[in-house]
Amino acid sequence: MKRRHLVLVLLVATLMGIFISFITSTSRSVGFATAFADPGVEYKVSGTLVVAQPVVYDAQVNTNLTKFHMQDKEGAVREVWLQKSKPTGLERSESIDLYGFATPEGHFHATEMLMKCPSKYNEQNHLLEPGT
Amino acid sequence: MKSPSMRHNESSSLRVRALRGLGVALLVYTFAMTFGVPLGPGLERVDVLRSEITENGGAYELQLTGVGTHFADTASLVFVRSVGSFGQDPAILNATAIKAASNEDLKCRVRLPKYVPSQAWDVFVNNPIDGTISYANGFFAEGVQPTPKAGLKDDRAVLSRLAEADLPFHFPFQPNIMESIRNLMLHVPMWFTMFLLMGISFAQSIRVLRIGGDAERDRKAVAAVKVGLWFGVLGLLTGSLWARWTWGAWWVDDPQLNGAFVTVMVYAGYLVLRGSIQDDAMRERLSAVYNLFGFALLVVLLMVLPRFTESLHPGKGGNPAFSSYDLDSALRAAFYPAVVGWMILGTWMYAVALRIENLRARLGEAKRTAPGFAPGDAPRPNPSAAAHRAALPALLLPAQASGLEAFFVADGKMPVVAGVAVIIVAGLAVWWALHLAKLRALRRELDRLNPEEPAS
Repeated sequence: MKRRHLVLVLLVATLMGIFISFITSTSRSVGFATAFADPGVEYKVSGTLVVAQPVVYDAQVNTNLTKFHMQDKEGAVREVWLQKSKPTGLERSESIDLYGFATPEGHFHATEMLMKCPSKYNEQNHLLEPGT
Repeated sequence: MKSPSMRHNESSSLRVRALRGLGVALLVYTFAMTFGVPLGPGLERVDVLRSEITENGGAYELQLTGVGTHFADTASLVFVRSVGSFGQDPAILNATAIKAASNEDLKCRVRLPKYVPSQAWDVFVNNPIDGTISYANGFFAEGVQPTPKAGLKDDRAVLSRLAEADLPFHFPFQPNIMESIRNLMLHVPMWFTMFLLMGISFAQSIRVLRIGGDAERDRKAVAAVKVGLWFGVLGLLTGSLWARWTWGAWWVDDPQLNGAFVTVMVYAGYLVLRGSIQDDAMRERLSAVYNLFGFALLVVLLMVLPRFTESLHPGKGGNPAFSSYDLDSALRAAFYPAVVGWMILGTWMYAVALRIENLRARLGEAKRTAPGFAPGDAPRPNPSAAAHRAALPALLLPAQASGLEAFFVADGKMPVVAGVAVIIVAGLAVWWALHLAKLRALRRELDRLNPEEPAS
C-alpha cells in the first residue's frame, strides 16, 4: 500500500471525526431567543448564573422549585424555574446547561439541569488571588 | 512447524519482569495514595439563618457548613467579598460574632449598609489550621440596594492578617466533587492506557500495510485492540458512575462523552469486521486499513476536538485537566505514577492477549496439518468462565433508586470512588480469569495435537 493511500485514509477519518463532533456538540444548544420564539418546545440552553439576582428556594413552600436568573451565550437574561430542589454548588457553578421550554409567562421552565464544576483540580485559594 | 518469530515472546526476559514488578509496585502505590491521602478542608454550604432589614441596612446571620474543617479547634476569621461590584474593586467586609458550634459548623454575623456595591458576596474563612477556604458567591443579601456609588467601610486590612494552612499532605477540596476527586487516579488512566494500546495497534497496522501483509503484526494489532477496548469500556463505566453523582446523570449529551462512546464502538466494529472475513490476507489488509481509520477518529474525537468545544467534562474548552498547572502537587504525586502503573499493566495484558493470538494461530496451523483430527472435538467449557457469565446479570440489575442516592453521596461521595475502584478491579479480574483460562486451554489442546512439540 502506498504512503499516499495511508495519508488519504487518515484524512478521511479526521474529516469524519470533525463532522461527528460538529453534529454532537452544536446541534442542540440554543440561546433564549430561539427558545422563547417557540414556547412549549424543548430546547437546551447553556449559560451562566446571574449573580446579581438571588437564587430562590424555599423547601417549606415547594421542594421541587428553584428560581434563578441565567444569562445565555448571546447575553440574554431570563428567569429560570427549575423543577428540582436547589442543586449543591449552583452558586459557584462555572456554566449551566438547561433542558426545558419557554413559558408564555416569560420564564424558562427547566426540567433538567447540568452544571459544570470548576475544572481545575487545585486548592480553592486562587479565589483570593488578584485578577480573579 | 516452528517459527522463530512466534517463539521469542513466549519467555519473559528479566527486563520485562522488572518492568512488570515496577508496574505492580506503582499500582499498589496508586491505591494506597488514592484511598489513604486525606481530603483537604472546604466549605460545603453557606445558609442565611436570619436576617434583619432596617432602613439603615441589613444584619445577616450566616451558617457555614464545612467538610474536614477545624472551626472548634482554633479561632477563625470570616469575611465576605462583593461579586461583580459594577466593575470596581471588590469590597471586603469582616463578619462578627463568630461562633463555632463544632469543627464543621460555624455561625457569624454580617452587617451591610443600605447601599452596597453588590448583593452577591463570596464567603471566606481563615484559620491557622485550614488556611483560607472559600465559597464563591455563597451569600446573597436580600433587602439592600446595589449601587455603583456605595460608600462602604472596607476591611481590606484583613488580607494581611491571614494565617497559612497547617495541614498534612492532602488532596484539594473541590465543591460538589469532594472525595470523588480521587477518581482521577482510576478513571482517567483507563483512557490513557487505551490510547497507548490503540497506538501500539496503529503502529502494527501501518507496518502490515507497508509490508503488504504480515500475519504476526496483524495478531499484534488485534491483541492490542482487544485489551484497549477492555480499558475503554472500563473508562466508560467508571465515567458514567462518576458523572451520575457529579452532574446528576448517567450519561450527558456532551462532545467528550459521545466521542468516547463512538470511539469504543468504532473499535468494536474492528473486531466485527475481522470476524466477518474468511480469507486471511484479505482480513489482514482490510482490518489494518480500518484500524488506521479508527485511530485517526480516536485522536480527533478524544484528544483534539473536545478542546475546542464547550463541554461539562473537565479539561475541555482549551485546557487539558491533566496539564501541570491545573493539578495540585499532591494530586500530581499520585496521578502520574498511576498513569505509568496502569499503562504497564495494559502492556502486560497486551502480552498475554498476544500469546493467546499466537497460540490460536499455531493451533489453526496444527489442525490443518494434523492427520485424523476430528472436527467435532469441541473444547470442554470452562466452568470458571461460565460462573463469571452467570454472575453478570446480578450485577446489572437496577438497585433501589432511593437508597442509592443517599448511599453514594454519603461521606463526601466516597462511595463513588469505591464504586469506581470496584468496577475497575472486578473488570480486570474477569479479564485475567478469562484469558489465563483461555491460555491454559489453548496450550492443552496444542499439546494434544502435537505431543512432540510442547507449547511452552
